Amino acid sequence: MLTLDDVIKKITYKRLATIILIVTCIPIIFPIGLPIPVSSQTTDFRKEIDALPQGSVVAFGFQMSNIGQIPQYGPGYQVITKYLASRKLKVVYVCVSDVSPLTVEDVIKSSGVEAAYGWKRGEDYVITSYIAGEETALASFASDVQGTVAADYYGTPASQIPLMRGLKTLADFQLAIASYGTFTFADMFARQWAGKYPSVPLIVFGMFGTVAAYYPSQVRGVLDLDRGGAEFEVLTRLPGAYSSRMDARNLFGFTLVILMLAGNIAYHQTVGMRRRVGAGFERAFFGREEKEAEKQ
Amino acid sequence: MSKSIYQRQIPLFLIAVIAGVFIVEYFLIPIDPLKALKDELLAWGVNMSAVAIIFGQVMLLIWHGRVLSRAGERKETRRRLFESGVFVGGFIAFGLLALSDPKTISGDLFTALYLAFVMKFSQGIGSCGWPAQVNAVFRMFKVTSLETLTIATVYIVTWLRYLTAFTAFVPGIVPVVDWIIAVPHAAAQRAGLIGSAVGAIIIGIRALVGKEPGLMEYEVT
Amino acid sequence: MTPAEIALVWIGSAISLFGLSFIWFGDSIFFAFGQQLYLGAACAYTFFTVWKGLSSSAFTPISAGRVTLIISLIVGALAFARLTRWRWAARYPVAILSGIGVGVTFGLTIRSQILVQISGTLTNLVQVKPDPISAILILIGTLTALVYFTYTREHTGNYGRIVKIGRLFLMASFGYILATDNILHADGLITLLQNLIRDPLKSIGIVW
Repeated sequence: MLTLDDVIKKITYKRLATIILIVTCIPIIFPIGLPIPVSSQTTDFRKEIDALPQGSVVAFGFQMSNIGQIPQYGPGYQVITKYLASRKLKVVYVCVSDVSPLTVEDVIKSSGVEAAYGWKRGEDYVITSYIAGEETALASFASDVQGTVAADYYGTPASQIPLMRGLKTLADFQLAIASYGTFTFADMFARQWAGKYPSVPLIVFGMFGTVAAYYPSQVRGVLDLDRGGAEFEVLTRLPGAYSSRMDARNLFGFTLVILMLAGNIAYHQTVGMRRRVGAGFERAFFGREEKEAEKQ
Repeated sequence: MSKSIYQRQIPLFLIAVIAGVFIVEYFLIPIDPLKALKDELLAWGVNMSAVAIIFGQVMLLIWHGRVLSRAGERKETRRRLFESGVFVGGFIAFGLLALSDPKTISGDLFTALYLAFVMKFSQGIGSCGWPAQVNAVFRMFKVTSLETLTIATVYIVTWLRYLTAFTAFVPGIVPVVDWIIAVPHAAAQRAGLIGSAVGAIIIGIRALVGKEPGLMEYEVT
Repeated sequence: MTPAEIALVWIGSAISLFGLSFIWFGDSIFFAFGQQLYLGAACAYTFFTVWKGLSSSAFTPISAGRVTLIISLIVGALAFARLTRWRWAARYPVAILSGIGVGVTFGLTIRSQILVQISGTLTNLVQVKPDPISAILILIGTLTALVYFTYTREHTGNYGRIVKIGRLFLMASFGYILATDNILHADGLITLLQNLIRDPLKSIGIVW
């Protein structure tokens, strides 16, 4: 008699990966378009941006752990950039990982903000070079902007960049946005930016679980990566790639939950049977002991 | 001068002095000379970190170069030679590509090729984490106690909250998970933050009194 | 799209499949090719990007008169001493960076990770946010989870019971973190599949 435990044992690692892959492809090929509930963290994120008057300067701390994160996080950077541009805000992209400058360039190009909102490099946005040192880089930028960013990514001296004039410390910015792919950066941004300069509101585009303890005291709003990006697209009515991905998550999630429940049911069936019948349960129910004796 | 002075004592002294400058500047009213010194040290930190990164890349090149230089002596396997060859080939190709453009890595051709090759591979390998997680959840996540029941319940409820097909029919799950985030998760995370902070402070105090050689010695064998 | 751009899209899709192939075929020749090409190209890119970074943080200020930064470059270059018989000299840049790291985090760790967390917990209690029971639970959870992390006393008797309550809060937190981490990886897979299915078709004019 085939039990759930037997079925589960037949599902090897590779077969499991194949099942999940096929299941995930279905809603990508046949999207549904279900509504996305908006969380309070996303609303708070937007509120902090909406509270800024036109012409305010935003420090956008940009960290990524590897360049492969561009396709996943790129739509989030794009929708945030588009919204900041639509609110006529100015942005200094603070690149604290080596792939950040290339990513920001790609975001600016693919979001089309220069054409759509008339954004000009040097006047509306600046991309810094890679500032090495992780937390030291964040502290250095926050404490001495001109000393840390003597020239932008293209080599233009800061003294010749209109947007950089008058920016001495982080306190001269009206808003700080932190985005990170490496989760340890959550604490670094909270310490060096929100902790040292509490007058500058900090909002985050990153995994909410990493900043839950800082919210809402030090971190005033959070876009929880893909889900937060989808909610932000809905809130701001700036369509992007995230909304379609929420559908695709459904089958993956349901399959995973079902697999977990199945695994537990199978485990408790076997364990429960062992406890009820004792040592002879295999012989009594499945005749396994005899089969094993035959093999030997 | 004894070896231990310039190899150990002076570096430990440097750690203590530099950390002391930052701590005094933070806790006392920040006076201009101290702030200027602090900013100068931070700039040094940025530059030294950048040089350290270059050092790391140079070590990679040296290692792969050594493998290829032994090709003639037949001391390396063909697979290893292939890998080192591709590494060095990729380095030279993309390096020359960048050098051939006045905009170097900001050039259109470099960006297009870098995104097509490097970003795509990174995306592919970055997407390899899910089978291990699915396998672990499937095979190892067994509910056998109150603690495992708690973790399993929160796990399932959180997953369901982030599935639009579920929240469309059961919107009541959203405030449930919001409560989990705001109460037990926040409480546990706060405890973790306070605990790790206490550890970091102890290391900081030990560094100030020159009793933390681990801050420099683990790097040099 | 130009033929070159179309070709790049298809090549990129193939390269990402090389990476994904690790799940089914392990460390195959295709995976190894993609991996080493990625590392080699990233190594070249890193040289240029760090050079640009140094131009901004070192060379430009030095040429503007801030000559003290030359010392940071010289001390940083001591890291290369590891390749010589004066390996001990590499301790100096490590020591300076460690000192900066400790100094930068010390005061702000006390503020952000201790004082703000304690005040947040007490503020919840005083202001009864989000509700009375939740505020008390936050306090209990924070204290009992902290007790769990003390290893100087054995977790037995009444102390052990307090630790068990703390563990329940930690388990709830782990459940949430595990789920969101799984979701993150699921989203990575979804993004990859979307790119693999839609981008090549889009490049030849079929919009899905």
